[in-house]
Amino acid sequence: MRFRGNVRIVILLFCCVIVFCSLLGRLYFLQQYKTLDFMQLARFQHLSKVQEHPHRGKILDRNGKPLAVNLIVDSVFADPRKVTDPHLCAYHLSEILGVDEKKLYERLTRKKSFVWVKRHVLKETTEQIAALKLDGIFFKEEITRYYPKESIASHILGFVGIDGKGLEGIEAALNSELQGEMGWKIVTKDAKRREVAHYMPTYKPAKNGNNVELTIDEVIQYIAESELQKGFEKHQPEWAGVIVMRPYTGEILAMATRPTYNPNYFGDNPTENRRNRIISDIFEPGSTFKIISCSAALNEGAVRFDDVFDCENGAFRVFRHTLHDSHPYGLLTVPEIIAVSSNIGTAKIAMNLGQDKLYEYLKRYEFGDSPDLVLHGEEGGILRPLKSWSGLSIVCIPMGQEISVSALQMVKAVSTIANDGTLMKPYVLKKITSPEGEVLYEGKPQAVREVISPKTAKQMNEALKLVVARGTGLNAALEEYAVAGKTGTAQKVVNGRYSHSKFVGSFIGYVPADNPEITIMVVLDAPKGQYYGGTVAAPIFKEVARKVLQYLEIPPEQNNQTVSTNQQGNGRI
Amino acid sequence: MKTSLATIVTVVGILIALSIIMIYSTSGIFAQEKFADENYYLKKQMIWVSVSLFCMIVFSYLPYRILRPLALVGVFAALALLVVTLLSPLGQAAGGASRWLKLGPIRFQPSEIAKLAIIVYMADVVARKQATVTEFFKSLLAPSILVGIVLVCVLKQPDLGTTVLLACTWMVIMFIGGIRFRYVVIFIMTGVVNLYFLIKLFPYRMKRIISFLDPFKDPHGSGFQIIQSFIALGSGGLHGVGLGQGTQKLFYLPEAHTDFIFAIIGEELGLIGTSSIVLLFAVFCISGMMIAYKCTDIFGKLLAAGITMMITAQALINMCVVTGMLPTKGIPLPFLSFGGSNLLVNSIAIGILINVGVRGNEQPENAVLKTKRNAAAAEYNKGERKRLANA
Repeated sequence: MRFRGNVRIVILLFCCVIVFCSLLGRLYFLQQYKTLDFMQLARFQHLSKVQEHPHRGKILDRNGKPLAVNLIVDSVFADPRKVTDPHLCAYHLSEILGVDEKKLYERLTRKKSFVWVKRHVLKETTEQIAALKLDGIFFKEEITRYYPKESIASHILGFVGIDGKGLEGIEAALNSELQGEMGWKIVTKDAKRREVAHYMPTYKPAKNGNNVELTIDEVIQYIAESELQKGFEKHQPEWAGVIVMRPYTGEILAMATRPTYNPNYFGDNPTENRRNRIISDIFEPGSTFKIISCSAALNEGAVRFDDVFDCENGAFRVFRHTLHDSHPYGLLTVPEIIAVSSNIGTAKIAMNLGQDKLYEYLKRYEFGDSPDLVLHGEEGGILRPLKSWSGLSIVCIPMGQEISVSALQMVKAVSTIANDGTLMKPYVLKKITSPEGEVLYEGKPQAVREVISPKTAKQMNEALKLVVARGTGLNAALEEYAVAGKTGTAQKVVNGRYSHSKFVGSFIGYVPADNPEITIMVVLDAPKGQYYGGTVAAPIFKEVARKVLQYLEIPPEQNNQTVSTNQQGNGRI
Repeated sequence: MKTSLATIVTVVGILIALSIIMIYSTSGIFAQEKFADENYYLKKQMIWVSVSLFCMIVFSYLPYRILRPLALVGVFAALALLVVTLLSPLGQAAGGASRWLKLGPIRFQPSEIAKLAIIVYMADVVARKQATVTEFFKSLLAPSILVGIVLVCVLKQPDLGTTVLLACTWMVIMFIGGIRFRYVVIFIMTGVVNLYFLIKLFPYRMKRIISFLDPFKDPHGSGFQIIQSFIALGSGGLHGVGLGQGTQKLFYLPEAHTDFIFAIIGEELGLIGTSSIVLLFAVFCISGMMIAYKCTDIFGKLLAAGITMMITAQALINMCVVTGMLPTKGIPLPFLSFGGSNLLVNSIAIGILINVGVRGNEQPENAVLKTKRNAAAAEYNKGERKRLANA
């Protein structure tokens, strides 16, 4: 029989070649035709974008003391599948962390691979937990915003929300400077989702936020806060505020508001406690506004410093209304009118000036315009345009009615007098520096305009010194420094009418009067019991002024303002 | 003949060289993680390669005909080893299958030895029974039953892939040996029916079939491996991502240096790399078959064809699995995959193949003698007849 093996070998070979060819076709299909699809799938599963969080910039006071910093804390989480003894775990953790044991047990027994136990725990606490060596309990480092001075300057600083975004105050206003830039890196991950170091990542490092330095002085802020707190507790107003400004630069040194809150636990407080009322609440200033109107009249030459006005014994009929003084006065000079805060005298001075000129000066003092600090929520107050003034406006506005201002605006205006008539733009932002220390922005004193002449300023200074020496501001007098200031007691508008029970008591002034270092305004809105500015606000002013001057090491001067001061002053010398 | 031999040596040389590079590339990270030594698999493979090359050379010089008397012994030895693997504690289970036998420091798969033993045995039997080869039941039933027992042992491990491979080798030798075509058809049909039940009865095999038909149905479970293989191949494109730059070996393809090394080659060397390998195996297949074709000795012919087909079939099955043309089987890619006993057995087989190529056309000594004796006998008969006629 003829051997047929060779034919069969060829048949087999032919079959193999067919399989080889189809294999080549399949490879072409996978590696050429479908390659883009699979490349995408490959990228999708290998590469992952990891975000890198920047460190938020610090907020510092004018001397570089930290007001807002970042704290590296641990967050405790559990992998319930790895927790061997949830009862024991829950017991220990609730002991250390103060979390409810039952709730914790429930969380630890969930069928999940990740549950939070407690977030933002201090290192010392987590070390305690780590020492117990509990199965399935892990820690994750997180960065949280921390305000080391707690409620001090909280209204200026604001706070940062859970997502790391500034929500109020400087944190919100300068969020873009502070937050820095998110970095990312594209890393290769293996099937167990671990980063593979061997493969070069594409990388963009996180850019840390810039540091912000404020003009606020931590110590002055502390003084303002604590003195305000005392007054707040004593008089129980709806709200109270103190602002301290350096008149010749416009720097805000302190800004305190009550009620207050602790930005570390901002959620625990009602929203209204967080409002920086110094800049965002407006009120009718009352008698403190007489400084503004009188300075305008003096500067325009509408009245002279030693002109005498008849104060009509406390009742003056004007525009079918009767204007009253708190005490009846006869003939008073301009400084005396200011000193005793005579409404009738002020009205007469203003009428000499005329409403056009008054309005011009109010605009030059920038009433009605937002002071434009960097902070959010600033109010410009209400200054009605001249054409909607009534006949009575020329009487009311000079004594601080029919006009609404913020405390910041008042301080700015009175600082103008302290600064020889030149209006300085108030600012709170001293410096922005990059994390490397490069100065990106520097706040500089900015003279806006000369509102009144230095001569008028000097005259006004004399009048304001008289207020404290012999007028309504006796309670603000200091033993070692001359004080210039003015009290204010404004009726609050309740339901469209002037209230006879709710007042805004305020005091504004600067020290030392002849060489001013600080301008201070104290406001108490609707204090209970006593309400005169001279009684409720002036003592706070006095204490703040005394302590701040001491802190600033301003040399005491010979002070002729009060007899008692004089004697003590002599004794010292 | 000379060209075929040179081609086979070249192809095998290229494949082994490439395997060393690719095993290092694919196993480095895995070995680092598992043994804290990224060269672990590389070193092991280097040792196996040296041993295998040595054995290949030895067998290429050893006259293949001396295997004939050893054929039956070989089959029984393989059978014994398989039984030991299945029943004794020396057998090592890995991944739910006891395929390994551990003797001292050496771990090997008896089923690899069975491959070679069956080829030699069947080639011997079919060559011996050439006269009656058409009558299957008369001549080849008993040897086939013996082979069947070996197959059952391998199937018991369980290792369906190797069982199918062994059955194919058995069939190929009988087919070339001249068995009637109708038997071939019957055997293939019975095989398919058996396969059907073997798959149907074992749910994990069914699962593999389903994931083969639609891997994206369960991309994180049963379809995971084949999808990862597609991603490796597909993301390689034409040129590949570069040697050592592949990312699929980062535990996406589990133990990528063994059965799925072809996928990583596809990822790192692209279509150029994979098609080159397919062509290398095709060239090997053709050269091996040429040796069988030209061999005048039937035993040598069957031996060469069996060896060529065994290696080619392994390569094709492996590459088809990796490219998703066949359901997942535990069959390595010859010469490229990591694995000692497979490399050793394949190398010995190549050594034998080379020897067949060298000596296949020599007349066997006893055959020559027989011819001479026959001629002498004919001469004698002629003279006798003459004498009788004369007488």
